[in-house]
Amino acid sequence: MCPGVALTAIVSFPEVLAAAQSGAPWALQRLYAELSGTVLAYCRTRGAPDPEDVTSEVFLSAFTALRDFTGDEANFRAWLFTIAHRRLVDAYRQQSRRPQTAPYVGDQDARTAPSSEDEALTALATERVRDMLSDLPPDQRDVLLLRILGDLTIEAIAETLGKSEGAVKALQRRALAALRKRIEREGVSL
Amino acid sequence: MSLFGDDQIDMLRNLDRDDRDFDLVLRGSAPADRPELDPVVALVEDLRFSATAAARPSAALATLLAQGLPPAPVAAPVSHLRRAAPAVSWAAAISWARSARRTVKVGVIAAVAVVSVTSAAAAAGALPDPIQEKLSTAVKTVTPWEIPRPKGGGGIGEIVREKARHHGHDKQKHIDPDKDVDAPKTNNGNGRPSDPGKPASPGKSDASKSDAPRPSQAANPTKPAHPTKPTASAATPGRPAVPGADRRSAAAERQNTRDLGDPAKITKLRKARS
Repeated sequence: MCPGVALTAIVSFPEVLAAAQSGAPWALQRLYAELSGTVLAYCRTRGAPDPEDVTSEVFLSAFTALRDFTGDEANFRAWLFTIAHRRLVDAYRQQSRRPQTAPYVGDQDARTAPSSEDEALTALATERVRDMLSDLPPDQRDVLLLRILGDLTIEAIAETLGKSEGAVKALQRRALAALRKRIEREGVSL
Repeated sequence: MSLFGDDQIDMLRNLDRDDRDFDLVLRGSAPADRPELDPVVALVEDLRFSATAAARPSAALATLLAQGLPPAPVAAPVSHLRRAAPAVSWAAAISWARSARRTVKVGVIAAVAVVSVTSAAAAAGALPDPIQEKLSTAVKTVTPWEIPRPKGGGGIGEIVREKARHHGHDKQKHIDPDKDVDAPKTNNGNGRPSDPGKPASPGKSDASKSDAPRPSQAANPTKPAHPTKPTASAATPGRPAVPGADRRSAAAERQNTRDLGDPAKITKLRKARS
């Protein structure tokens, strides 16, 4: 089921968007409740250092510029994931400039205790899903995640990633083939 | 005939099939003829399921969600004005720069013209003496050239003074006694101009001696003390007061006498006036 279906379950998306643009808290909460999970999954699967923090920054940026947005629900999703993609790129750049070092804490060791990401993934799916996606090249993984989580069209993904539609389609095919090969090779039963 | 070979056609068909199959996978169903895609469908479903939990908002975002967006700024016209203001200031700045450039041009041209004219006048020695003197000194100090210094009687000032002096004599020469009668303010009451000009050699005129004790002149405190004035020869009309005095004054006196006729009339007229 597409995650965006619930967004217009009771109130239509244009009404929610209009109320959010006028500053109504309930509309903002509604947008956040419907879309923050997909953005968080996107950030987490992409390997963001602090997925929830990045997700909050994405929504802060989106809500701050919400009055300038025009379009339907699909456009809103594409706009939101474009912000998320750019935030992740910035986060990776900052992380590469300043390598983070943290003291060792036994309780937080992923080998001894499940991290929050592992808990979430374990609770929601299997860790193999994340591993399989993380094995994909970054551009293939981006296309796959934006297609699956963001429910974006080929055109929207091409605009978000700055690629042509043909290139996005090619990446999508390669990602599908790589997943299929890996499943066949490892005999993974999902 | 196809542009592609059999292998290429098969590949294109496979690509189209992959795209269609992937769309089906995204919708949550694998093609019936491709059971190998079922694990991929399961992967997609798990991934989507993992995205159903909402993220925990940060403090700033929680505040925004609780309070809502701040009211829209009513400063849209202000932003328009802010955008328009630089345009106005740019236009003003450009206009100011153009006018300033024009002013500088005019100033430079005027300065060059003044310097040229002054230099030419200085080279010709036609400037007033003090200016010529200073300019000559300055030019000699600063440059290897030399500008002529003023020579005492040379220069425009001296020429003007000399002309004024001659002009005064000419005026004195053409005194009209009739005019003097009609215009008493311009003379001292005895037919002489109030400002007769340069006096002759003092003490040589008998007429001056005869003029001094005259009550009409003594009673006139404004009378200039020029006792040896050649025109004072009116005391003895018809003759020059001093035989060796100014010939012009004598000629003028004779002319006046001729105009008036009888010298007795002149004396009578002067007495009546006094």
